[in-house]
Amino acid sequence: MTDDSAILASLQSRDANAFAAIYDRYASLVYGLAKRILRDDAQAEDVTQSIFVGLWAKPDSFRGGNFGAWIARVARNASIDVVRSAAVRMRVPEFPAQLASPVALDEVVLDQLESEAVAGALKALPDEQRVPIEIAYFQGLSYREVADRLGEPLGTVKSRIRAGLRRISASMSGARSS
Amino acid sequence: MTTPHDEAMLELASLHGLGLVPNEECASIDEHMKHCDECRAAFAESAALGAGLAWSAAETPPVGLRARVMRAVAPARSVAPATNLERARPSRSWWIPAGVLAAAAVVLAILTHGFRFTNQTTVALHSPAGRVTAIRAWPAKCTLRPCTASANVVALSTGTMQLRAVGLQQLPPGKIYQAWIIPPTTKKPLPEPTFKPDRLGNGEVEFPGTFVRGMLVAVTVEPAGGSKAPTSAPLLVAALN
Repeated sequence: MTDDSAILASLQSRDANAFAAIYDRYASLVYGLAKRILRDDAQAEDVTQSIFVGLWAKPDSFRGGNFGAWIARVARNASIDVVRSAAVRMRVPEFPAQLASPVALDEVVLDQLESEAVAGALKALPDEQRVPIEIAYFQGLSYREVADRLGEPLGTVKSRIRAGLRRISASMSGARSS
Repeated sequence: MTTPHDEAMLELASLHGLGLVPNEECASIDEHMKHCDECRAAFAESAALGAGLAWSAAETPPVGLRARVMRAVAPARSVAPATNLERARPSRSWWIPAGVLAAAAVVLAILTHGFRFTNQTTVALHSPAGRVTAIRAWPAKCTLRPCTASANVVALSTGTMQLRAVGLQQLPPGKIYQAWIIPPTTKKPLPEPTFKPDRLGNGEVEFPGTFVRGMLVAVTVEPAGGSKAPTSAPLLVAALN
């Protein structure tokens, strides 16, 4: 179970063992996501290292909220940054603050989500919803770029992604209540 | 005045939560969400789903990565060991072997005082204040013969890189040393700052960005003021592998 307030406290205390525990819990998420986006083991390692070392150097970057969602966004952005910079150089990972404030995440939601269930729900979507979500999230494209890539109208792509997300969410709610 | 709420805004808030909205469109959505519970909820729901998608791609990283990170952020002996599962995985061959952490102190002294460089390709150093100073270092090769200069490129945890050279010759008036980054993809040298060695031939230059595997860092002699493209052969080249 994630204890985000404990994570926040241990980051601020600069306790190396607590930091190691954070690494052990979230490194697979960061590395796996980076590898999925970058399709390169070595670059995924570099991104992962940059994020965790940067987090240690700037413990105030995480200001509360859902740590898993926050670091997933950091990892995705950093990986996209590498892809889009054509590997010229990797900038210091950006640590978004807006996930914690002013928009607070529903921490309960993520804790209840099982990654396999999300993956299963995604897989169960019709292709017209699944494909834009997958290429947007795992290839780091904006919805506009997805529309260009698929040759579909912008409004259609937005609606399909939104519908797909709602369907996954409904699937997760159903799984939780059953 | 914020953008009025409608179905399109709700759609955008949902996409924004997943990180699919271009940066230039985010500000207006963020502003709108400050006053719209429905869009804020849609954003939060998508963000949580995004984390779920990320977890679906989760994969155990190589054990060497944990060691590299933990050595960079903390004194080696104070950190809890990795799990058995991690220890069972093979480490990368270029990683610093276990038991040579004492070398880090030597390398730190070398980096601090700039007298000579080690062949150690990977270091993890800690400053006296407890902050990370260097994550990794790569030795540069001297390409000219004879050449008495040597250098290291050091990646710092602050997101910058440093090139530290020793044994540089004093240059005639109108000439200056310049660093170059050569990305592995384009192979096109990108100009970095110029620098002059001190009286002992020690030179140092720092530039933003962290390393990308396969990148080259080079030093050439250029006209004072620097060049946009190299005008001479590199005398020092470090391959960041």
